[in-house]
Amino acid sequence: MSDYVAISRDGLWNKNPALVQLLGLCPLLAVTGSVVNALGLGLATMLVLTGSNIVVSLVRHRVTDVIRLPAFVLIIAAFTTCTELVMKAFTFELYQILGIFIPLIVTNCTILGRAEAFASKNPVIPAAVDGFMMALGFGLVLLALGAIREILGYGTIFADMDLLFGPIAANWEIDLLHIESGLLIAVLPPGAFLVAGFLIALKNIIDGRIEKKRLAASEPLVAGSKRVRTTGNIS
Amino acid sequence: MTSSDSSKLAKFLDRQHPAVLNAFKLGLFAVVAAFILGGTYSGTEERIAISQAIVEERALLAVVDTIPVKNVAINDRILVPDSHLARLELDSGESIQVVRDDSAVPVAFIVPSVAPEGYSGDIRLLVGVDLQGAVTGVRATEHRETPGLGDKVDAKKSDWILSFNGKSLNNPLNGWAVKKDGGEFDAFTGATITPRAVVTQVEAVLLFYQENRAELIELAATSIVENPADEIESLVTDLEESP
Repeated sequence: MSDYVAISRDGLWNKNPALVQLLGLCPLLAVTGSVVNALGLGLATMLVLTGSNIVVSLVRHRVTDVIRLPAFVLIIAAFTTCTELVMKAFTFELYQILGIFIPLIVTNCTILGRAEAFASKNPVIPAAVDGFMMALGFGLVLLALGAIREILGYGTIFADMDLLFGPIAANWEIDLLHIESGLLIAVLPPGAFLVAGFLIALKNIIDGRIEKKRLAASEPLVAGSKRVRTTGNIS
Repeated sequence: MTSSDSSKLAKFLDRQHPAVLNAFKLGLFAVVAAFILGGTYSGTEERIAISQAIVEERALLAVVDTIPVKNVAINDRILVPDSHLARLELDSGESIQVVRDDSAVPVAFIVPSVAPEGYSGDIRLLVGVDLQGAVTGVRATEHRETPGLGDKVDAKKSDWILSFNGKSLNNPLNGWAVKKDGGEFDAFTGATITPRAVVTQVEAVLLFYQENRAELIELAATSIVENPADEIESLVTDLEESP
């Protein structure tokens, strides 16, 4: 059980694909102009990553080293195309907005990376959990970026959610800032880089705090034993 | 061939011709993937066609919103004659949608057009024109205008595009330009090029309509469409009835 906790912690925080491994940045930066786009891409990535991890883990004993990469890419591409078709069928307008970034999920290094580094060496269930948690970590960063950029750029949050959830979501939009036109740069590509940079910085600050606390907690022991050695100039 | 035979064969191949075995395995992966994709495709094909048609129809209906009684059948179209393609900035194969009332008399036309002078290239427009040559509605269906500035041509972002409703070549007479250029139309904050491109192209569509009105009405009267507006509705009902 603690294995799964460790896997989850890796996916969500310690090895977060977007904030630590810095993988899959192309879709991350390109489609996070709003929450609905971010959520759409996040869910699609989750479907592909979890699915491909499961299948890669299932076939891991059958695949020889030589054909490993083409076979994994084939699996990932098949999952991506299925996801694309399903999105086209059920969330057509969102599919039109996300456009090329859905087929481009194939080239998201996170997915091949997890297939290589984890799924091909682990049983099915841990591989599935790893895929899901990595995708969740990636998706949460997408959502955070989408939300921040939407608030700064348009002054709203959850606009156009009906593209994903149907007519019931039509009035989920909340106008937070009541502005005519927001901070333009937040919606443009440079805004994506800036917000992503701040998110990474925030994560590092939090990590630093945690580290400090950990050190502080263990300080008496360490400091005490060291003081004896370094300050003992009796001669 | 029993399973022990096949595993023997696999072992033999693995030792003697590993490339053959690998190629075979990879081929097997490809075949399985192809079957899964084929299955997904045939499972979603119909649904995709319906979604596409619904989105298309919704865009069409939006530009004739102001007409109370209308029937828009996706198959009820007139091909734009090649001689007019340049005028509307279209490629060949584009067609004009006929809108009819309940007794199948044409009440409006929806003309596709492209405003080529957008800030980031083409802006695809749908312009609804009633029989008298007044605009019933305009929508930008495809554009790459700057988010936050030029993208206010999008009806989702701003009401600006609705300001064309009810306008015609005589109303405003000589006013088909943005205010900055001495015309009647507001530009929106921070963007002049986008509204200018759209205003110019909507005027071009109206001019096209004025010159070809008689021909269009005649073509619409003679083109025979059985069950106008039936296609989409029946597709949607089929979908709702199926579990």
